[in-house]
Amino acid sequence: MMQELSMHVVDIVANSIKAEATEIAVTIIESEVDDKRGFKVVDNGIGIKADMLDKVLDPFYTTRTTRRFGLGLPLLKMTCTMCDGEFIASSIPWEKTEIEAYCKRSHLDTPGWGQMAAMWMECFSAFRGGRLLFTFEFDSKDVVMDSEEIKQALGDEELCYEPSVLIQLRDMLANQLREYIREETYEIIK
Amino acid sequence: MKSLSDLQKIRDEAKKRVSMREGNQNYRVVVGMATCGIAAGARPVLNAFVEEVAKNNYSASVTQTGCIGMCTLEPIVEIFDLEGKKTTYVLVDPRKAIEICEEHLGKGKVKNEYSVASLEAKR
Repeated sequence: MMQELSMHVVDIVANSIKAEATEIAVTIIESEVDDKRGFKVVDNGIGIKADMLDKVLDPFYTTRTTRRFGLGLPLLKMTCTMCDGEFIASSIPWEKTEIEAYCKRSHLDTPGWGQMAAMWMECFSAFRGGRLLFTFEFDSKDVVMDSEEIKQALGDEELCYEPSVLIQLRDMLANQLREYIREETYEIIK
Repeated sequence: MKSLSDLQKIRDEAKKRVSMREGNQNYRVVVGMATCGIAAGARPVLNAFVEEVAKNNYSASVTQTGCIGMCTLEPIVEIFDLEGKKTTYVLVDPRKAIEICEEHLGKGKVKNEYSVASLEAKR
């Protein structure tokens, strides 16, 4: 069971990576004004064919041959539906595959974010081949983490994934997020 | 995004740390982070490994993979050494992760009690 929304984000981004995407854009949305909490993941990977879009939401469907079910997307859809939100999946293979998942922020069952900065770090460190653009959209401000900028500033791509660098980037982001989001809705690092 | 100078400071420190290590990346730590792993608590485990490796400057890389295939034993962590020998740790939590780092990455000794082999032996 996914108790936190950040777990879903890491899970959905793992799908994009497995789909051989070279660009992944993640938008995290936390808005008191629109009473909305959720996220959008857009990638340019292999995608989901039109006739498969319904099937991927069936927990007993999977493209894997190792097991007979796949739970990531069904679990996410369940969370959204449970919390008066919406779940939208659309796909143009190798161009744009989009998963949008929103909850009503004020709904009692809407999960908290969990560890937001760690969530970014996990996605960043899992996706070593391409560009990861991460945007946190809050009512007052957007916080952006662009893997290209980080790679350029660090010069050496290998260096980006050094554990000490990952931790420092994570904590740097956590400090930034602290300014824009009420702390009870998430834990910054752990 | 933080300023460029912050990132450059991070870069300089990291370069120093890498050059201080003898032998580059003796170990490769791989954490299973598919739906099953995440649901079982792989994220705190990954963070613990990254933190411990950073803190002690072990010569190891920490990466993620999908489903390793024994979902009931998640979180699962595989550690590969330079010769490609693999040790599979199962039912890992952040506390065990710290112990595994100390023993395996620090002293080069397999932490048998948390490995899948010992679990099979018990059965």
